[in-house]
Amino acid sequence: MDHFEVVGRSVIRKESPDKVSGRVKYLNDLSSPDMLHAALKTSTHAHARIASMDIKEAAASPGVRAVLTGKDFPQYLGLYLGDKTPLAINKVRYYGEPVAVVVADTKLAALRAAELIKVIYEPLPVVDSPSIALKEGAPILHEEMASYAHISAIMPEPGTNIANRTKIRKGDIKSGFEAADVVVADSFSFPPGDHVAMEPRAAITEILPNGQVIIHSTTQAPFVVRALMAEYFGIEPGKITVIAPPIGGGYGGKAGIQLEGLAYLLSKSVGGRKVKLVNTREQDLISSPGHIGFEAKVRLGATKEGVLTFAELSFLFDTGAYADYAVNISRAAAIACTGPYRIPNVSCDSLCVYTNHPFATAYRGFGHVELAFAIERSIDLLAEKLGMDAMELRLKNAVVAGDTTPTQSVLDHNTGNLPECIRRVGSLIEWDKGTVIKKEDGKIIAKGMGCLWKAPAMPTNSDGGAILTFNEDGSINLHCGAVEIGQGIKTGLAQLLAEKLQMSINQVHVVYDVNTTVAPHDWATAASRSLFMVGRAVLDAADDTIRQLCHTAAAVLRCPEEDLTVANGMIFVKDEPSISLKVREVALGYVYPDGTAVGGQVIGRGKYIARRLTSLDPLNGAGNPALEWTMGAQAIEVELDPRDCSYKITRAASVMDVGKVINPHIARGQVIGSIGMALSFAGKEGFLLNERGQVQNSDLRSYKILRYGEQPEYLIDFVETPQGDGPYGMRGLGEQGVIGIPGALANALSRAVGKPLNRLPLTPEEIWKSKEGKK
Amino acid sequence: MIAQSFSYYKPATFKEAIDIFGQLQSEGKKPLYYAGGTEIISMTRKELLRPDALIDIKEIAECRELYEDGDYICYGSALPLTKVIEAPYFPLLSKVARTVADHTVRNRLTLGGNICGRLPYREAVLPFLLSDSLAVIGSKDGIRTESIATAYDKRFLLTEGDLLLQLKVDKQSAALPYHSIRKERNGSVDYPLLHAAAMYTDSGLKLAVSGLCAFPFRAELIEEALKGSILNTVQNKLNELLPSSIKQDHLASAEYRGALFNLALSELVSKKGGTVNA
Repeated sequence: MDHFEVVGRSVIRKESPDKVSGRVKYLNDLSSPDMLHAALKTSTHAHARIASMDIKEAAASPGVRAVLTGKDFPQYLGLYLGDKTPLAINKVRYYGEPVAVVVADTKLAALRAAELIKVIYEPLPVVDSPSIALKEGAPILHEEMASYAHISAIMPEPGTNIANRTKIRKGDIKSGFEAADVVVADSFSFPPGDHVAMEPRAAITEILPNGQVIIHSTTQAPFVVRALMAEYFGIEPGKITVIAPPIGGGYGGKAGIQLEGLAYLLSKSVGGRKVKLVNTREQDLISSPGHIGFEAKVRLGATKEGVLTFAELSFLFDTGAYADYAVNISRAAAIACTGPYRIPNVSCDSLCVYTNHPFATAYRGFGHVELAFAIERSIDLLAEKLGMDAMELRLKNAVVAGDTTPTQSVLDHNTGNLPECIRRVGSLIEWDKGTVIKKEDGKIIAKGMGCLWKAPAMPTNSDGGAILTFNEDGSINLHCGAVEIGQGIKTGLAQLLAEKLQMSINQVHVVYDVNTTVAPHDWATAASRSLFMVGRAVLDAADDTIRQLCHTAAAVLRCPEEDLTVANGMIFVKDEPSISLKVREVALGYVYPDGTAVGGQVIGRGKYIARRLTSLDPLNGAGNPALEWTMGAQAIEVELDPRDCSYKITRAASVMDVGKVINPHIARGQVIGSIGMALSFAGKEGFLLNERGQVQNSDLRSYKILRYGEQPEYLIDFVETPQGDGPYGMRGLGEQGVIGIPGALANALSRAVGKPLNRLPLTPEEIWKSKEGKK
Repeated sequence: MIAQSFSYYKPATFKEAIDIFGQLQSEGKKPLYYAGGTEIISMTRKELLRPDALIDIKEIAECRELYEDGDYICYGSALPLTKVIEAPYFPLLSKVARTVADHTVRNRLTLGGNICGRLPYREAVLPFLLSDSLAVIGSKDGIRTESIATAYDKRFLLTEGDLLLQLKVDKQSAALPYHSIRKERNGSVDYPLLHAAAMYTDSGLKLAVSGLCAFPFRAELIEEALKGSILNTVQNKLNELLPSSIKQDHLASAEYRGALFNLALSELVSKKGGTVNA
């Protein structure tokens, strides 16, 4: 019998041929003659009262069906905290905020009319950073906060600019401080920015005469959209169908709820007709949410032997004008606040703070890339003060099974082998050959390291499901709620199924569009949890399928059901394989030679729900919020010219313990993609804001991201300590590769110039200023 | 998508182009000459520009030409930068033009558009400022040829409606040794914080600079100063030798730009002979 061994093989992604030949249909490719088009009018101020808005001329413009302003939709929407109306009412809180929208027969007519809307603003003082937002007398950006609906896991503080505060209190800071021989304290920060997914966000909505609401959306979370639309607009959930086609990159920016609510209201305002709302690139950068900004204060202590004794942490997340999804980013950062280090005494206040910046949502890493930057810099500062090698200090304090996390939950035997990751990454980057090397031409080669850990930050009841149906040839259709966002999830799931059923991957057909009316429920394609959770559901469905096939076959073959097994397209007696039937003879019901049919079609059902997750204690953060922790270590090598501090990233190394690599090429691609994204984030990105809070780089000409030619050499490896409850022992790896990189890059560059670099982005000028001791 | 309406003309001759421009102007309209469109499209899209009419000059023969003409090499203003870069005549021009935008954009972006555009960098002008070059300008009175020394001060001194048809560069000066240094915020596909280009002649170094001030310029005062004094002295009195204060904006501080310029000066001076083919 063939042994397929599909798991662990670099199977080519099922969607690749269509993608590389340009045949994939993205949402904006959908078009129909009955479709109306919407265009947004956005704010030119970061904080201003809307003194007046004149829509008369726009409404009279040719082809216009409706012109709508904030007052038409006095409805707060939000995933975790309902703090945002679809269009600004009375005041704008960020540059680029939508204030009005036009629906017209064509996109052109809509855009023309949008330009005719006249808005007069009265500027208000701009809150320019989270620390300023917390100062006495700072303008309160959400005076109505007390009335906002929110989930119980977050704690807004009405009357302030704090949208959420998560507190971690573990051990006793005072005794930790007393036990420390060496203490470092410093501040770290970076500005907000964007994901820059290749596909801008879009939604198409229509309301059928029977009340059915059909929403096509570039969403990572179709079921979240369905649930929230039902809740906010009082629609029966069964009357909502959300369809999520494959999307051109999400990175968290398409989780939660985005344009769908507004698109629904627009359709409603034109009698239910189909309305398409598509972001321009500029709107996708600043009007829709991007990545969060960050300010942190870290105090970290150790004995003179380098054993960490305490961490005192203050995280201020700059969520911009609206918090919504971002309240959970500050919470996730608190849960993992120390990074993957054994620290007995921890205090952390992690705050999500309103400012007048473009607002934030989930971004690859979800709070971890932020905390890791602050922690990994601090670890290096501590190593320097201790006179200890930075890698040795990390090894000495790396968490292992039996240690506790900041939320006081115990890391079980499934915990990955972080020390091994550190050692391997050290050897990949040749740490022992020196971390600062001066070249003859005056340039300096320097290395820096950063560790990471991350567990999914998700609701305690997050789930996944899978349904398997058969075709006449015995091939299988795999239905699930996970969205293809470029991560290769459909291929990964097909591999798990093919492995389990010992069949060819080519006999597994995947369904790309997720339709919430047809697909089994799924929380969201976020948190690096899809292959784990939907994978568990797929394996469950495979078991169900085997059971049904064997049940029918047992009758036909006249043998005990439990003696049968399935492999290679056959159902057969384990110890006498010649007694067999083909899967295809049974899958749609077995037909005897005389025409009698039995068994009926096989429909495999599988499900999974997160195991034993709990909420956090609001006073000290105690609880078990983490399904599985992926750990790893990363390192960067740079070559810096000390004269002007320009630099090149020469090598990037990453070793993560992912339990089991399901598809080596896709896994490697995910990690390389993550590192590239993080290098871009740490070296180049971030909104350039003027003193009035206006974004100066709201297009891709000026918002710079890493280019293909700037990629370093990538050295990628994995450790495989099995995750007991993960499919074939795997853990998530979609986001983790970003987390350690900003810290590693800053550590390398700090080492190169001999000065602490604690702010991103690490532009040559920033480095030069630190080196020359300028402000 | 650009929502505003504008009229579009595609004249076959420069005379026709200039007539259309004059006619539209007399009707109170705001016409623009159009070639690659990389700047016009992106600025119009952001509503920073509202042209009433675009006059496409890509069909005008003079603007498309690239040829040797006796002692001169002649570049049409509507040539895409890619074509200019690939031509073998003027290595410094190839090197400098190659740093503008990225390859895909350079396939559209034209020489004349880069030099006469609204952005403050206009880097493709630097090699012409350093060599004995001529500007061929079309106007309603016909074609005139002017030395760049008189035709350019901070930008091309064109009367509204005039059209830069060609730039001609003397072959001998195009073959002079050269060196250039470009610095960006972080990554080469970006506007320059500094772009300094030099050519080396028997009588000394010639220098032209973009990015440092609000406009590209030939640094004659610095050239003179370098002849008489040691480098350090020149570097210490930059303020007196530059045509305006150093630019400070969201991309970089004046202080850093100044430091980059001083480093570049040291490097350019140390090269002396320059490179003939970099």
